[in-house]
Amino acid sequence: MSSILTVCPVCDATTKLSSEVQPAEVISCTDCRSRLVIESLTANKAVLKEAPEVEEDWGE
Amino acid sequence: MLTLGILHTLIRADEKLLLQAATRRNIKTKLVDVRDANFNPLSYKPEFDLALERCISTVKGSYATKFLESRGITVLNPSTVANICEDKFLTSLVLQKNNVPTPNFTLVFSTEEAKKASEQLGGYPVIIKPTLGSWGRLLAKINDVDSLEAIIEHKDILGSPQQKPIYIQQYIDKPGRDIRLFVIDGQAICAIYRKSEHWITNTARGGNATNCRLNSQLRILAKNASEAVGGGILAMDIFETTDGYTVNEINHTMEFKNSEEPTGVDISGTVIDYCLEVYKKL
Ligand SMILES: Nc1ncnc2c1ncn2[C@@H]1O[C@H](COP(=O)(O)OP(=O)(O)OP(=O)(O)O)[C@@H](O)[C@H]1O
Ligand SMILES: [Zn+2]
Repeated sequence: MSSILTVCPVCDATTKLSSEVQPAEVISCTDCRSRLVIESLTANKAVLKEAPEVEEDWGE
Repeated sequence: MLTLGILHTLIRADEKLLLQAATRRNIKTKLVDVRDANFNPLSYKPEFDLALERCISTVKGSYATKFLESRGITVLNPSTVANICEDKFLTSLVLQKNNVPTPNFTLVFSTEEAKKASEQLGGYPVIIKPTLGSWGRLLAKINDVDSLEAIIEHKDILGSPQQKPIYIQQYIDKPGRDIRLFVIDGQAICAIYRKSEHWITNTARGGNATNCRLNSQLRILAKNASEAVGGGILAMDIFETTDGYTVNEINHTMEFKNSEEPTGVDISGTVIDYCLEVYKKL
């Protein structure tokens, strides 16, 4: 499987995703280190958005 | 053949490790983003045989678990365990009742009672923390009555309804570290020290993780504390005191990604093996 190229919504840099990413997965932009989430994913296209802020009930 | 449902919200490195461990064992997985779920009992069709609850959102994870259990599906951890572990007051109560060492604690609803209760707990400093919550957020070390009043007023005015109960715990003077003990079905599998200059040692807040060798006391503590909350897959926060170990709290959807490397233990693999074991007994 090949990797997917996509664009960071924060810094606009082109980011290379591993072929093993999943929708809803949290990743970091290799350029600006922003925490991003895979919003949607098809065979050769991924859409990223900024990871949400921590909510009150989040935790272990 | 088992198809393992993984209930999730955001997928972290921890969930990826679990998925990889399942793949290595030829176990099929079905990712279930509970944010997109429609838990209508008349229409819901599960596509898995057993579920592992891994939601970052405690509330969503808890409802998903209760729903699936109502449909006859086994969830790890079961709601009986999650109900206790998600609430620090309930966890303390259950530990205390089962004679598992835990710091002294109380729950009050007013500043006046909080003042009296703090004295009763041995005086300042005391710790105030949300009964629901994690990663060391909104924890307060109260060094005197002035800060006690200030913190409670802030909680009262700025806090959500969940911040109204005031859970107070005795402050434990730790040796610059605490222990995170990983326990599956009553068995301690590994542990790390979380070291920090700050009294809050969470790795999520910059604490540093190193291996902590298991000993017989930790194994016994693991077994007893696990029995107290109902077993399952647990991460226990433990303090070292001059009187021995004391269990601060127990996490039921544990994060472990920073712990496999220092301990050399395949935590994700052990979790998946346990899921398979539970499935075989169904
Ligand atoms: N009573 C206490 N005395 C001293 N330190 C404490 C006490 N309670 C908590 N701490 C420290 O604060 C940090 C977070 O504590 P605790 O585990 O209770 O909260 P949490 O937000 O649920 O964190 P976690 O994500 O680890 O579950 C830990 O590093 C712990 O060592
Ligand atoms: Zn970026």
